[in-house]
Amino acid sequence: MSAAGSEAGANALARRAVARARVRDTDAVVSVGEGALSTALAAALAERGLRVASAPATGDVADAPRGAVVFETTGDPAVVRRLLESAPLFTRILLLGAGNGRRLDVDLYRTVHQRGLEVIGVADPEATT
Amino acid sequence: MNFDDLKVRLRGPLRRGMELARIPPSVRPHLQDRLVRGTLSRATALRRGGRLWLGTEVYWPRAGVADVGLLEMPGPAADEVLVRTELSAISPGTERAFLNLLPGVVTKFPIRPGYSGVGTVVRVGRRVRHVAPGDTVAATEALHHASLALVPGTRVFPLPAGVGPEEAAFLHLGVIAQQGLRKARLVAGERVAVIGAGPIGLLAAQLARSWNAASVAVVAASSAKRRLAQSVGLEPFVDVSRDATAAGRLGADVVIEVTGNPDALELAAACAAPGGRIVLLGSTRGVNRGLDLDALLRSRELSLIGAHISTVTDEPSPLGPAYGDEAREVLERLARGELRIAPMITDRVDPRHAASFYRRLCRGDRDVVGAVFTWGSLGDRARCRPSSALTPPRDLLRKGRAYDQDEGPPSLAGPAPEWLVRDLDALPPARGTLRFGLIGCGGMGARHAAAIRSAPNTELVATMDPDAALARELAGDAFSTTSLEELLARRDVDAVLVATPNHLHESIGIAAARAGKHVVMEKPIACTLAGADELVATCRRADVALSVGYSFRYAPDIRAARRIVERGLLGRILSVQLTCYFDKSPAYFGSGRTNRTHSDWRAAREKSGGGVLVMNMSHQLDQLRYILGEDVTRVVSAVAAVVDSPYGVDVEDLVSASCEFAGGATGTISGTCFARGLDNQIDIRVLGDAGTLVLDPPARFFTLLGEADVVPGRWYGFGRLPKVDIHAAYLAWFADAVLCGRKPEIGGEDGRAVQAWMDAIYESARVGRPVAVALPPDSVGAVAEGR
Repeated sequence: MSAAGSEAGANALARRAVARARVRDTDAVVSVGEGALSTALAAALAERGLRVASAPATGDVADAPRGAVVFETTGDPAVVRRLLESAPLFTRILLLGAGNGRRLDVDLYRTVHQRGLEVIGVADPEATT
Repeated sequence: MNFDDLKVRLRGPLRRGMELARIPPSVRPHLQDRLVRGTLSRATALRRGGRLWLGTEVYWPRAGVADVGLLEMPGPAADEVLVRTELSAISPGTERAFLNLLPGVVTKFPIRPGYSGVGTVVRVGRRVRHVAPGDTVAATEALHHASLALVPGTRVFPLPAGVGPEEAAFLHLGVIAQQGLRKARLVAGERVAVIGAGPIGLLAAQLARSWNAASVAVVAASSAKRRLAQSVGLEPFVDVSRDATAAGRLGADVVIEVTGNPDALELAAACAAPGGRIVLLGSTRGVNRGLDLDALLRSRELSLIGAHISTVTDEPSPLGPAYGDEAREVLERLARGELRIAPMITDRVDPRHAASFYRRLCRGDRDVVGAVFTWGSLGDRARCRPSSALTPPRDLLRKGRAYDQDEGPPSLAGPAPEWLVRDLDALPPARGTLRFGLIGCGGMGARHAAAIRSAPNTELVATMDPDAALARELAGDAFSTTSLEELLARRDVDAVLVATPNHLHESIGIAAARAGKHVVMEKPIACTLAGADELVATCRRADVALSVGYSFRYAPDIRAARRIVERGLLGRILSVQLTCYFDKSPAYFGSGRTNRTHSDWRAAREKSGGGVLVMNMSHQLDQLRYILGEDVTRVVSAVAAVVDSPYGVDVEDLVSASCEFAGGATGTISGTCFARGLDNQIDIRVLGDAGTLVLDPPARFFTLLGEADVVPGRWYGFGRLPKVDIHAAYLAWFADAVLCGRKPEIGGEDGRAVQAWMDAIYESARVGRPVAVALPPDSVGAVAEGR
């Protein structure tokens, strides 16, 4: 795929993620990851008048407020795991980054269940699958 | 602080007192808990005016143990309500997981289980306005499985008209289900799948229906839950154990996962339509390993929503209303009949039987769906009575008292229960006399002659031995002879007792049976299994009784052990260990233990049938069969003759075998006759999944199960057992059976079964692999008690 095509794909995925996130004006929005997808995400949020804060590359979002909306763009299982383990109560986590077959061990009780997290999968709108 | 620390720090009389109490480690957590909680309760009660309330509670002192005990509770604080419980709801899945400490559960014991119930208000704090003493209320979270509960006012709810107590008792479970649906953002017209058909699952499904879901499917891996789902009006039901692909056809917008099984996540994803929401409502215990989030969530844009009840508080959250509002809404739905709970209640449990109930639950009894403790089963005094914080704590160190609802809590350790020791030395009533002829007047013959004379219903009328002097000596005033035929021809001999060398057992027994005499055979029944079969068959044809002298069954500790196993107090028997130590001098193989006769038959396998296994341990093999009520089906063994003897011994003096019992238990038996200084020491231990029996002194048992006079989680000794002449008792009961036309308790079949077991041990050692025990097809697993 060309650079232009890649950028278009990232933009489409970012817009899709924002649409699925149900972001309200009062929500704190955090992005995990750097790169084209992260840039596209910031742009998509800006279109909605929302500002996004960057979380550490490790995925630690413990400093985010309750009910924050976190966009994960790396797909790295280690980052996702740290994100799940550190997310405050009621955090909504949108998974944009592709794991590319990498797998994750996680205790869903202590992370998602006990803290009322919502983990939302976002598919690439241009993916053929 | 733990109790060991406390004990170490104590000095002087206090410390000595503690040591004298001999507090077993198993009860230390219980005592520590009682001390700490009792002190806190009294201190709080004193601050609140001095009144202390006494009741009864279920608690779990440690993993796997459920107990019932005294509850001490102060009066309510300003924001609290004191409730006298009628029913407390049991959540089978959660309580099973915590009591069993299933993977993923992290908790500390002791635990006071329970979190929802219904009862009557006894007292209210000064700031509580919405309920008053005498009101019937549902209460949650702080209402444990106890006859009394101190509950925050925010968790106490008056019952609306039309809501019954059993339904109200499950209020907290209803709140859990409802907040889960709320977090799913379910809207009318959506399709719902609920994975799991326990109480919360079925409540969630009913709530989804009342929220106007287009369809609600209950998904479970057991068709047994289908009827239950139907009983509360839920269809369709998907049994994924029968059709693994059925879940994929549901296309649910919302999937409620209630099983708590990490592996159910993939099933939940399969049930969901693209863009669907999966709510984790069951507490997922254990780590989900190897999750591919691309495949699980991203590719189909699924969402995973955590819905733990702890996220619902007294204040509204971004995701839903406050706890109180959820609870009142559930009560209104109950009043409108939108939720049905009664059909889900499978068990109504008297709290005094809590231990038995939890044992069932922990063993995985899936028939338990909804259950309640019925606190009204207790007497008023055990349920709720006022006391004073200044009254010394009763029952804390009281020993030797079983739990009684009118007398307080369980004892810390118990004496032998009455049923265990009752009539262990009983002899039959006089119903006539059985006249014996004794054949073989050596060492064992002398012992049997004395036993015949001691038993109240037997008489020694004749003796026979090739050595006339030995026969005369034991006969006393009775007839004696050196001729077997002469003794068997006597009309005044009803029965013979054969105490000859082992290789003569079969032929003499057969001759006696053919002469119409009942036969008591010194063990073993014969030297071979074929010989045993022939003797049993001959006696059966001659219609005479045959018994083999495994008189050690009449030892009081063995009979008591049988009672414990029979009552099921050990649960399922898993393992048996038998170790036998004998100390035989080299002279034993030339003259036996008594030196009464001189013969080397004990040293020759063809005459004795074997060494320590046959000569000594056969008694213990029979005891194990008797205690467990089962035969052994397979053995793998090793035997050896390791000690030199001047008599050219060719029998084993060491045996070790692993044995499989018909009921599934595995046994390890070992024995030796060269244990210097350890003669006649027999160690028997029986391990069940709910208890342990130890027969090496002091005999004792431990059980996790309760009975009227057995408190779970305690060791019980056998106490002072009566002295019994086991040989005389054995003969007395044999005679009584013959005189009454009854089958003897220890029959020829028992002798044959032991013989088959021993033969298999020898054969396994010979061929070096496991060998099946040659049991008759109709006798496997059945050891009868004829008495």
